[in-house]
Amino acid sequence: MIFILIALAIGLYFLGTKRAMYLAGGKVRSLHSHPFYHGTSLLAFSVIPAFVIYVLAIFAANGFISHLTAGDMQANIEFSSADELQKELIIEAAKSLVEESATAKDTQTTQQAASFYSQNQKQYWRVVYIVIALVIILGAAGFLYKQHLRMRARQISERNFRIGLLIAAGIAVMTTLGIFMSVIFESLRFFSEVPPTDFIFGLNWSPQTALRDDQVGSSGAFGAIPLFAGTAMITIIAMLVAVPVGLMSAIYLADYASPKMRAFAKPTLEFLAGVPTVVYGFFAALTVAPFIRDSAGAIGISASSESALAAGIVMGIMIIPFVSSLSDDVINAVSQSLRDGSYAMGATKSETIKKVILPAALPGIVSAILLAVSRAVGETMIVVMAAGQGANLTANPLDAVTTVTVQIVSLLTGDTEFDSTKTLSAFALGLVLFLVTLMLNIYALRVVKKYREQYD
Amino acid sequence: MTDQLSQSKISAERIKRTKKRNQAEIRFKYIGLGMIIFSVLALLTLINSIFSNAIPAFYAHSIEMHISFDKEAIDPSNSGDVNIMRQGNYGKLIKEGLSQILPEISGRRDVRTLSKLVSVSAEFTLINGVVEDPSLLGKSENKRLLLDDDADNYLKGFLTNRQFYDFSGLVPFENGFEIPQQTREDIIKHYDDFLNDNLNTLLRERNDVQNSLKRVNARIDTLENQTNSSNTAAKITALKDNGKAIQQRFAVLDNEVNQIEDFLSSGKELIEFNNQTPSAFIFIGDDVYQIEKLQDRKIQADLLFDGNSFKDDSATSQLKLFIIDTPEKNRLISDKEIIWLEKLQEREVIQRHINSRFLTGAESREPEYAGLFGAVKGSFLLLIVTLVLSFPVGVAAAIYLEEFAPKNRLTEFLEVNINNLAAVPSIIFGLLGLAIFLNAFGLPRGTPLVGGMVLALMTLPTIVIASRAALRSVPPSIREAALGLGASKLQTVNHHVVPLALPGMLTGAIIGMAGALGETAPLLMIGMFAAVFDVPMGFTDKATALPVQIYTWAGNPELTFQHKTAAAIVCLLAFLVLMNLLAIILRKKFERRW
Repeated sequence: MIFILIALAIGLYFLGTKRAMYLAGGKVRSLHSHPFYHGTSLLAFSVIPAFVIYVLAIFAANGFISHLTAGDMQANIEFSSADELQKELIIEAAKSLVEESATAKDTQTTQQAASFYSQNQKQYWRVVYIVIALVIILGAAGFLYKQHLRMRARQISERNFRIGLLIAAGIAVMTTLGIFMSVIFESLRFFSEVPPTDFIFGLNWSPQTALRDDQVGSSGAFGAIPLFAGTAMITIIAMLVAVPVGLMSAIYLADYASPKMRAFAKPTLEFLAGVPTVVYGFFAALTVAPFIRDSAGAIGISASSESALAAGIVMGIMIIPFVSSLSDDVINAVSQSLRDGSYAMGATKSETIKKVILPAALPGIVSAILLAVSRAVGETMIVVMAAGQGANLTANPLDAVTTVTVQIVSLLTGDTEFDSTKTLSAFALGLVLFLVTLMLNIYALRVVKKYREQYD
Repeated sequence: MTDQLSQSKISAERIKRTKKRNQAEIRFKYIGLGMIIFSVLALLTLINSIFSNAIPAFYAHSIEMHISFDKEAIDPSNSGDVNIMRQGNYGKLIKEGLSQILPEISGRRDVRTLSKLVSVSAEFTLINGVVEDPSLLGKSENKRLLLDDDADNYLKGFLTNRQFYDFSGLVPFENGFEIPQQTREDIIKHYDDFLNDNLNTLLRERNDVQNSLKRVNARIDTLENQTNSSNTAAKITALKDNGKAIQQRFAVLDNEVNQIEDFLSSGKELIEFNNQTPSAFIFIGDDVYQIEKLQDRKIQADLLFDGNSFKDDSATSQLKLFIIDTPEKNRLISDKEIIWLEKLQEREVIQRHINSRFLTGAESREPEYAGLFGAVKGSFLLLIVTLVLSFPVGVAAAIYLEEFAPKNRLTEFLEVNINNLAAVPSIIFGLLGLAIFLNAFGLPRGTPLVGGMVLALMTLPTIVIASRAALRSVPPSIREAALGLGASKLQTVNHHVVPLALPGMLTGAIIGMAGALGETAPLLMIGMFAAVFDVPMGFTDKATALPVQIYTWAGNPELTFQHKTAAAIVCLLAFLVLMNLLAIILRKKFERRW
């Protein structure tokens, strides 16, 4: 279909330009706009709307066809007596029956649903293709009918182009909106089953729901405090590593280092920033965690092999370049006159830094740290690979703890049935994570931006 | 006079203070230097631990054997049907090939154990060979087959320390030999090292147990001093029971420690070997004897491998002592298998070679057979989707914001939005992909198409920000000149500004792609996690990606997978370095200073 559209687009473009030339009697001069604009304007009225309709149709197909099928299936007693969840499962099975292959599990109901599904699917696409054809034919015919020598085709196509640019810029907003919708709807469904107070203040996290209803502990517990505590602990450890190292490295590189040293240290820090997090995760699990366990054992303390300390330290190392480059920006933004004034009073370099520059840059540094915290809170792979799965509420950094991101991954990477409370809880965690990082980011970015502008 | 005095006093104080300030200055400077050194060391440790683990994955050991493609075993009905050929008894062919090399091994169990030294995947190699060229049937050919991962790791030296000692002068007697004094000392040296290691572990454990016993006793004391209630009494009895258990454990440990210490300080009259001690062997010509007891210089030994050399030739044949340090119980490969491997090496059928399968093959459950190509291809497809979607949209958004957007609230909102999006955790994008692309739109799960869409949304802010910077660096005079000549706003941008900003935009796009290449978490969310054993051929095939493959392999316990994980990381880092180099070259080549 895409190829047909592309071929049509090329054909119509040439039709538009050729017709413009024909109208002008072969003299470009007598046209108001270059034939190119006639061609592109023609496209903007025919193929482009058709393409948009086609893409929307692809996205809408699943929901629409399922809805139609569910309507058709009302006649089936087994189907209409089932609850919402089972209905969805039947439709889902019908879909996979149509698209892939039959499995042994298919019941008669599913097969019936599948036949309805494939009928509806055919009908749906028939309608879509007819609409697309109509749009192209009507759009092209309308344009060609109106096309004349003095047509302001350039203005038309420029306006369309501008609209296109605006839509592109709007995609970022749509993404944010999409993120918000996707987490908020599933979270609301989750909170209709588990009260928000239980979720936010509960001390017990064990989302494993039993397979059968009569099994003990079938409901699972969704108290997220252990996850928040684990996340906080690892974040704090990471900050204890990243903030002093990052800040001091930035200061040293800015004020003390020789050019040679800088030429060597800067790329090193940049390399640390470019290493994918999964690599840090492997490093934490393979090298750092056993090292911490053994050295703790050597001084007579027992440490878990998936300790919070290992994950935190490695995460700190990952964030060092982030802190140092942000602090570098902020420190450089402090105006030279402040430094000069301090030196003129006879202060040493370190006194200038400690007593003049750092206080002046403090809000900026704080927001840089907040951005780093937001990074650490949302970091996934290091903790998935190096921190534990079990939700312990502990203050000992040598114990295994789990974090919000670890739980999201472990809840959603099994074979997931999308509507169980277990998977919905991952979205509730996602909502918390999104809100926390969003607040940190909005605040911090505003301050950092102010700093950049002030001394620009 | 008094003036001078006070002045010297002041100056003394001043000197002291200046000294202090200078010291503080130096201290501050060295703290900064120390922090830099810390980062550099962290990076070096990271690289070292990755590379040292990665090297073994790039080579492998194979065994070359003569395989006769027996019609009976592969296609007994002579049908010529490929599907029947696939089901032939290839294991039998391998066993026959092996028995040609080591004819000494007989007995069904031994033959089966021997054939397990060859990788399970060797059968796939043979099947593929036959399916590609059915005329092989009935012929015989030399084939190079991968060894099993345990055997491979043994030969790479990971499973145990091993050592050969040449010696001469062996006197045989009834079910044993008398060995030279030097050989006896060699054995005892290895045995002592092993015992000392053991002793240290035991001592540490005994120490731990002693400490916890002290803690329990102290706790009992404090409880007993407190007011007596039924509650504390119950606690005390529980603690006392606990204390007794610890005491027993301590006694056991103490006993073991004493035994070892006694033995080490004794004359070592009798040394016995079993599966919890190092193993020692004597190679006499082609025969191999396993040492069971060493008493003075006399050894009692069992014939483990009968190479038909005669015991009485021992004085004249070549003699070797062979010691394996790790006890049989603690390693993945048995004494017998090790001796067979040594024999295979002696007969020069085992080759060490570059493991080309690692870079050209797809994922497999067999550690030695697993390759990276499927993941590389998956990542490649992902990046194509990402680039096609995010580059045009990102550039368009940047052009709008930089060149057309009026300065109003909407624009400001757009800007804040894009900056925030750049800082949203990647896993949240995974949730978006799962809830919207997979569940609402029903797009196919675990495919490069959906993965690329999610990554495109993620890299979009990076590209927008970089492209805006590139557009901003084009001087306004260019725009003014174009506008002055009568070009429309859009013509100015499209014909003059964008071409000049394009290298900068491309650089930004490459850096964004490098970030997308290393991203793992969102791909896990949309199901690119499941093991995929085929190389993906299109955008809607199930696929995995390089970083996801790294994550999956890292979760496997086998040593070979650990090496392959590190090697996969080396490949990923190589790709990233290449992309960044490309970006730097692009910048250097096209960057214009205005």
